Amino acid sequence: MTEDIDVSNGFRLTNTISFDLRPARGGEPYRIFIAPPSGDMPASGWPILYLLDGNACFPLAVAAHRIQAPYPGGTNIAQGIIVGIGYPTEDLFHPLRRSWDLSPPPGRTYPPFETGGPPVRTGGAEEFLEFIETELKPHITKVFPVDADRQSLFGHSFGGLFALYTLFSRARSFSRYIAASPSIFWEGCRVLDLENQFLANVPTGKEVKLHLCAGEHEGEELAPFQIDAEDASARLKQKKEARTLVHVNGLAARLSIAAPPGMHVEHEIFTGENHMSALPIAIARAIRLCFEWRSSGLCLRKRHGHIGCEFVASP
Amino acid sequence: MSVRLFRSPATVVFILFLLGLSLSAWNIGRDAWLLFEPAGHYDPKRVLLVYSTFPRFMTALLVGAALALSGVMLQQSLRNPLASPTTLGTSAGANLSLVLSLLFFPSSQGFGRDTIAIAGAAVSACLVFAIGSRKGASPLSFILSGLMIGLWCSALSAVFVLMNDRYLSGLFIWGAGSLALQGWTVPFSLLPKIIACVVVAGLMVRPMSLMELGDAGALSVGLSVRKVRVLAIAVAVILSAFVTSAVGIIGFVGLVAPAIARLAGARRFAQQLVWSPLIGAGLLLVTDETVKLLSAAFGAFLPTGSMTALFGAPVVLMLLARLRTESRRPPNLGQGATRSWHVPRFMPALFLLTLAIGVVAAILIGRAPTGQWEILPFAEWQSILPYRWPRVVAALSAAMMLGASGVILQRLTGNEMASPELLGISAGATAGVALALFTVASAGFAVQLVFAAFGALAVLVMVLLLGLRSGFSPERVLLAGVVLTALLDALIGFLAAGGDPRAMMLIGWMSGSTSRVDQASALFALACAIVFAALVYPAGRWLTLLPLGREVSHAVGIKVPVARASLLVLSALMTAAATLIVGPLSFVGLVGPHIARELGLRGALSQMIGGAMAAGLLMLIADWLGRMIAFPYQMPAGLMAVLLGAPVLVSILMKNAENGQRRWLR
Repeated sequence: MTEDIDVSNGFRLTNTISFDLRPARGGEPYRIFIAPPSGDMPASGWPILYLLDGNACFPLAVAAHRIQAPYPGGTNIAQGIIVGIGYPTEDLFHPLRRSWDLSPPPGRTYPPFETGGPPVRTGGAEEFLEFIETELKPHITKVFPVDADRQSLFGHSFGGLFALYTLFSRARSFSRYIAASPSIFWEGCRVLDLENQFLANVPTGKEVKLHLCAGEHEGEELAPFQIDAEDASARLKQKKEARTLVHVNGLAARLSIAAPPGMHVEHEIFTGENHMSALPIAIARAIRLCFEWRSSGLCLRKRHGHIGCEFVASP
Repeated sequence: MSVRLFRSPATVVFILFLLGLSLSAWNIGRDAWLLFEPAGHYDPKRVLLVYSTFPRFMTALLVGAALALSGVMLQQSLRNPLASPTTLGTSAGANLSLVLSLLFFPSSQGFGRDTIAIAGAAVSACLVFAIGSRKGASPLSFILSGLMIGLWCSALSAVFVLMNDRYLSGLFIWGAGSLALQGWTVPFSLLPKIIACVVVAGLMVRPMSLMELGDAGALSVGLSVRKVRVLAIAVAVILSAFVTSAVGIIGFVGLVAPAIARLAGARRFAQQLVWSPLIGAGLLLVTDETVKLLSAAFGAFLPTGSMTALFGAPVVLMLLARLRTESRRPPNLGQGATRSWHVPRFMPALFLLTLAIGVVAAILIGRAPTGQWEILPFAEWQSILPYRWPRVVAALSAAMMLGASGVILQRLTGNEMASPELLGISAGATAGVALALFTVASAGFAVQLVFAAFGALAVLVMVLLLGLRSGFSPERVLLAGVVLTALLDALIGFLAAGGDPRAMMLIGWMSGSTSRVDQASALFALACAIVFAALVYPAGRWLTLLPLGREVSHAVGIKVPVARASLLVLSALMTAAATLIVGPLSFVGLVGPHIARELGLRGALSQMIGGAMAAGLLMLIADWLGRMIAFPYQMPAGLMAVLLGAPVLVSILMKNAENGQRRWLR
């Protein structure tokens, strides 16, 4: 029997929920994705991973987490909660809104992406962070028991920039940060000014972990497959501006030397990967860091003060 | 009898048929030999045997099997264990068409009762299909449109019956389903129709089995869910329309025979398809033979339809009590498209404002003794208001409690058909009132209230005891409630069909009237509403998380049985309090949550508040209309709420469908 292909239904990740949450200050709502936990509740509550650009990152993270969490003895990954912070769109990214939400103040105004579109504004990170801290987090902890000491934040690209901004301006918001291919160069490396402030009045006491990573081909050179392409020169110009690899390596080195006690820095360059292909790999690292089952505190402590050499591929 | 032996569908069928055949043997008894004698002269006994007893025997088997088949098709295709041939409104449509033709076009009776009934069933079925299959053809859209059209038709029939009770009491007999026949016409005309439907159903076994995977799952293995569902529902509706037009409304078999088959261990759809009709046939046979036996013994007329519950209900309850595992998967999360729907910020304020204006308007706007419309002049406030405000306050408080109770039940069970009256509380209260009316001479309002409270409490305790073993699995508790309700309804239907004048009082009470509310009971209702609102509020987290399934609830540290039991008790208490005041017609408790959800209030607490307010507003308008529309006579608010609320919900559903938002596929 031949049956027509019914195309009227989409696929959706099972056992997840999503809803739209409008900030109290008004403005457009965020779409929140939640993968609830399963298993026996730990006494201290569940570890939780917040993902920026939720539309793109949430399904990746949930799938990666679910294939590991049932076997903690083999994977060292425990159960927990994953929350994606996205936008009410079917697209993976919302370029206009993430430009505002994820970039540190003061920001600027850029010409529209498309002619006739709204101008692109940047610099809304503080407002967004405020929303996460005072509205989203309480909204979730009201319903789900969250381990306040094991909250992680993952961001890629602009999201990585936001993760660094959060670490430098309110380090205590999360206990683990994963900044993948962060756009440190953005608006004159504005975020690095905050790095100095952060190091100048170091928060002590609480344990903080930072995972910094980028793809091998995010440096000042073209990836092998780009060298003969017709847009090679434009790409090279852009790469020399972004210099993600240089910035990430530099930041990792500085933090590893100057980091306060209780802060651990992991640093990893993914061999053969580019800016976008680094994203799924970084998500796997985020899950490893956030849902660590048995603490490998010993080897982390040994690494403290050094670049995580065992991870570093040839730059 | 060992548990394992009892819990095989074959055993259940065997027992039912053994019982049914021995009963019929007992009934026919000594007359059987007449068949083997040459027909010499006129012999009334022989005529009775050949033209009444045997046709009736055959009809019971056929009708039972057909209804059970219809039920199993519906329950599978709508993925709802509470669906039954009456769910989709065909019987109610048939009933309404009979009422209308009897009252307004008596001459049309010349076409025959069957034709009129089947025309009514066809019209209502077409409406259900038109609304239900508009977008997505999801189970929810069919169930809701069927429920709404069915309830609307029944309410309209009830209004006509209340206004013309002298002419229509014969309809109760039809409405309660009777198999009393003359001749072989009915079984012979039913047989080919039923066989045709059985053949179609048999061809659909494979695609229907796949629907167990859920819409998304079925799609993923290449099944056209929509086509299969529409076809299955069509078969089921046609079957029930044939049966209804022939013998009247016999609803319970269709609900309970598949349930018995499932509980007895028929897990796969193919098994259910075979066993349910056999169980249905056996069940109806036993019932009908018993009815014959009792009618002969007491010389009273007993309708088979309502008696079915008397036999089906104990079987289900017995099986329920023995079952511990949960067989149905928790509501499937993550189906359907992501929706984009935003509730305007001013929505709660708007609701509140409307409600406040409504209360003031309902109290002040009315009709003068002359029938003139007027705003109550200040001078008359002192004399008139004490009669008006208690009704308004009581109606509002009761309806808000019912709305909140409905939200709790629907969220807890994940079943969109769950409503306060399904818990059995309302039926318990009604049975209490019936007991008061029929046993206590000149039972006043206070006596009725006490009896009703005891009835409600008794059912609550029974439902909770039955739920205890399954850890208060909402599914089980609801099924127990449904069965108890059917049992008590059967008793009430039995009383009503007897033609006792007190039955009319009972039906008046069942229609949900606020006319007897005094100041004390209004204040009681208000106090209950406030207390329960304070209790419901902290339950918001439970209501958010419990629908995510046992595993998630456990993971976030909720003790599932405790949470379920508390919510069920809370919901039952609210229902009981409301039922005592406005009668058992808790339609607003069914429709309020749906209105709130369709308006976009999807969080547990916001749906609770919205559902309560929608129910309250609906009841407020219904009560006011009931007082005004036939002034100086009064229509029961419960009936008015159905006549008003069903179209409101249907129109919201249709509007949302037109918006192209696929939110029915939750």
